[in-house]
Amino acid sequence: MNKETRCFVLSMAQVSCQKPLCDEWIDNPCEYTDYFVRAQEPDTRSLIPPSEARRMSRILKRAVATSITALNESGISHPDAIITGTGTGCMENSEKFLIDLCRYGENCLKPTLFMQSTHNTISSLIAIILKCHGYNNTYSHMGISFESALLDAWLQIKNGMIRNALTGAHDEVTPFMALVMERTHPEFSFISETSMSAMLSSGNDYTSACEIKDIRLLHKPDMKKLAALLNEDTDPVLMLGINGNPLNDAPYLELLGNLDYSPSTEQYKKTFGDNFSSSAMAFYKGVRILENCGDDKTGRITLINHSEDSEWSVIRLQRQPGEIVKK
Amino acid sequence: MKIFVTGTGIISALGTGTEATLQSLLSGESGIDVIRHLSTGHKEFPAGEVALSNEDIAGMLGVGYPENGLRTVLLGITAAREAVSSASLADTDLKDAAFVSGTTVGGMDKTEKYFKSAFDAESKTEDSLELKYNDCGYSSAMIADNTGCFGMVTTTSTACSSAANAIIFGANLIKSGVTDIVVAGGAEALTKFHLNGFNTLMILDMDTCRPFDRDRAGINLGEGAAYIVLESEESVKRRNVRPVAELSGYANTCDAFHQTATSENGEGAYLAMRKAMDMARLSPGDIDYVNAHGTGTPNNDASELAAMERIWGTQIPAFSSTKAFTGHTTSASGSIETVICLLAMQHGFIPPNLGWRIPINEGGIPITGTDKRKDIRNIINNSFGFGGNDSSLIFSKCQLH
Repeated sequence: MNKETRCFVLSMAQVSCQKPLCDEWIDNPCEYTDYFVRAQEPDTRSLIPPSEARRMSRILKRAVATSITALNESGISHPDAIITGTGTGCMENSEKFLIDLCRYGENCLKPTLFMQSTHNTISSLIAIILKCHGYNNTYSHMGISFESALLDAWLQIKNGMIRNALTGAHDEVTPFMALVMERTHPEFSFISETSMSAMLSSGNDYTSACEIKDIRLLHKPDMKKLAALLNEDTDPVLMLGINGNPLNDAPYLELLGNLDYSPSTEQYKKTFGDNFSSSAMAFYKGVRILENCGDDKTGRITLINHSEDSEWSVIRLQRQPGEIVKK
Repeated sequence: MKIFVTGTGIISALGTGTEATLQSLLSGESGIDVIRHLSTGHKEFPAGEVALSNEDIAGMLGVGYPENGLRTVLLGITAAREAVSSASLADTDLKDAAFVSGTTVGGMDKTEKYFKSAFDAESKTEDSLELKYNDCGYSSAMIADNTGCFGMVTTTSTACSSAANAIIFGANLIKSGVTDIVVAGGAEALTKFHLNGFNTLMILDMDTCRPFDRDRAGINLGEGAAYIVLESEESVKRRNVRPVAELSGYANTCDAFHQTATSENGEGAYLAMRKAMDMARLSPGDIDYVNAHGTGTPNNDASELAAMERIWGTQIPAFSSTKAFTGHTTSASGSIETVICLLAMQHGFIPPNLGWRIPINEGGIPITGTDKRKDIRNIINNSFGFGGNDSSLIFSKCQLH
């Protein structure tokens, strides 16, 4: 790997239970007490022609809205790669197809629902809109789908295979699936929906404040080994997926108990809720914190996420003093 | 940096295991037949089902709940265990290794069984717990955990190019030094969901499929799983194992034309093959065989042939689609056809394009009889998915050290 090539976060955009396509959540977050909170839909009129938007499911509209917003802000119109993470993909269309299959049997089904039900419908739609013939991949691996996509983009940028990548994570939850998840995911606090897109770049053409220094995916790691990885560097703030639910929090607390030091910690799930793409909001919040930490400081945040204590991820973000904040 | 293939595992309508697959290919016997296991009213469509029932496979593997009710997982474990053992990987080799698997339907077969009762009861019955396994990631994690203790597991999901993209990501993990060993491929069971989905698109053939035939009328679906072991040169030397082949080039591109149709000039397919050859530092004349995606739909085959003509003109190398052997195994097709390519290379034959009769045009004549060639040096394996997701892998004969 070319050690010289760095990977920066140029721009980001989010749609969630907070006000969409902006950062009002920082000073004025919406607070929720419900178990299931849907995303606040973005106004897409300036981003997607209404005739096209009408034919898109919620997740597709949100994904296109965050992608176009992040692209516009980055100044890159034509990314070298489009890489997406999604835990359950186009759930709304898949569910409708299944309901029709149950109600009407195998003879009156709609092709559009099937065509827009695969996980990679999202990445493909963005490529079709942008006419991007470059690398296009989609990861669907529980709560580390986003990190898998990010790792793919990061490795290719570091290797010089691509210069930049539009990378995102998108998950929608239907009312029925929220009822199901209440049973199948008792570790969640409140179930939410997430769309987050980020432009990553080698920084040859642009500069940005925040750099991705490392990404690790770990399957059922030994807690002591994971702690040893974090003990190597005691400086960064740790961003944890703590949500107040002991079923979710216990592995994080066990990890903290194995550290040689008491780190400062941040969390994000109280603001953004739980879904298979919620770790993308840890990334979003982490990058925003570093962008705003002051030009003269070295800022470092390590994002730690686990999905059912089976899949773990560690992402190291860093901001060096004097690096220019684009905007 | 060179990346080698050091092991293979496969299960499909052609049989269980690499050796059984080889024998079926050499005998020219298709695995496509009437649907027996899948619960569907659409028995008019033939398919490449794996002959074994879930009970048979679960018994063979010695696995219980929930794996025994998830056909994708059962097929996946069968192929992954064979790949790991054929590469002589020990438990200690796997602890830092990655498992990357492609799937799209995941545990949809279980969902189909329990969705109605869970939906009608607004999730108030135990049946809704079974819907958890619908997620692609659980399938991969279960396959991985029943194969060995892997250090990293993830899932690609790009419809019919999923397994090829798992192999591409696996290769990038090795090139980047993240790990030395990756077990990569894909698994997909036949489900009512996608059989009916493909049927709504009116691209299923009621007869046996005829890829690249002028009168081709669509797909026969199939199912199965295959994994290959990818390994760095250093690891191959350290473990003193004999590589099957080198993964010398690969590329993924996007046709960026339509969610389920491909462009007339095969732009995505053309770019994928070109870029893969660039990476492998091969020129078109170096390619001895193309294992085409060749689904048998009028659109795919015309578009893929157009892409091949853009690269080779009238000099297209020997090519065939093996989908008339296995059916279209969707997310698993990239790795199933990779294993077929590796067998062709090792045993010096080109698998025939079964069912073909009349050419689309003068140049588009696939190999039909079992073509015995002594030396197949470089093979391109194409896998194209919905959304114009186009992947090409190049496998090259490697010099034994």
